[in-house]
Amino acid sequence: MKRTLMIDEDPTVDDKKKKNRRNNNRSEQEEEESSQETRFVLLDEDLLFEVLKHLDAGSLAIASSVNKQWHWTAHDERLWELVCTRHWMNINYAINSFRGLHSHCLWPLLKLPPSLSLFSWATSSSLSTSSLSSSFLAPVIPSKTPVHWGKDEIQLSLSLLSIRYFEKMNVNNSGR
Amino acid sequence: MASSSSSLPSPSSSSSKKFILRSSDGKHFEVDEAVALQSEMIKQMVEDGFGGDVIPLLNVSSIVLSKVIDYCKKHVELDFKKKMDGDNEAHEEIKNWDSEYINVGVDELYHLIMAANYLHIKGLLDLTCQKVADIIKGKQPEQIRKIFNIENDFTPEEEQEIRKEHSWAFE
Repeated sequence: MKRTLMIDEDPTVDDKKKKNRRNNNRSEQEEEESSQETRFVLLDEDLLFEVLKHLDAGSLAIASSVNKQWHWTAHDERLWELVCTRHWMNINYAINSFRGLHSHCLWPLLKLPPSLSLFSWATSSSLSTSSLSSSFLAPVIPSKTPVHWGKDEIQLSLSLLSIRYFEKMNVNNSGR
Repeated sequence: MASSSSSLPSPSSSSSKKFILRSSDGKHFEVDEAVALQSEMIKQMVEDGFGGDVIPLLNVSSIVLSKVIDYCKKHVELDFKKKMDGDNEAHEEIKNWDSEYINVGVDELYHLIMAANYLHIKGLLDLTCQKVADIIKGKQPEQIRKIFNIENDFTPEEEQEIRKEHSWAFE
């Protein structure tokens, strides 16, 4: 009985394995065929640009290391402008009010000791212009006494932060 | 009910002008004017005074063309509905229909992109490019190369340098 069972079992297992293997082979083949056919799928530069337009910053950066053409296309300033505008729109959407702006951006900033604040983060890691920016930003950061922030102050401080950020990006890019 | 709905002006009414599109493999497709004019390329041809009966589309096979026509027909219908019923409901329906429509393999996606580009159908081009972008998102360069069969033409040093440049994205 035992023997027959074993004999009965073995071929079915084998069959299954073979079937699986065959299926695997088939799907692999299909994959290969499809990729063969789509060999030139994104070789058209304009179409690649159209695709990359839909990517977020991280995916765009990763896409730029696919090959030379992707690298070149993904470095188009217009794509990064889109990334930034989308990001800015998201921030606007998320904040949507000065109360939101305060609780999301300013309050955490004011709570931190000066050494850990966002501004010092932005300035400490930069190279040549750090002292200049620190002196720019120093009066804006209240270390102990609370300051009443008007619309202009908020806009000024955000502008300074943005400028700082772009400067930092440029330093990084030109350094390599 | 049927009579009242048929009395409404409809984008697919039989009285509208018809166009015949010929695919690269010689098949003919009769479509309404509004459907054909979803293609900026055909629109331009007509505006430039194209007088023939049949519009030859040399770069689009019948299989792809029929899928493209599906898209154009549906969008003419939904655009019409949008005008009649208001924005929100139709907008949702378009979104759902599009996501179902574009649920295709890489191969078919490729042919649709090429056709949408050739025929200048902006909505379809956006939809297909968005789909490719969705495939790319969250993938590593090696995976992207494999999916689209792209050759890596960087030297190892170049690749390392580029990865270093974007190290924040790889973290």
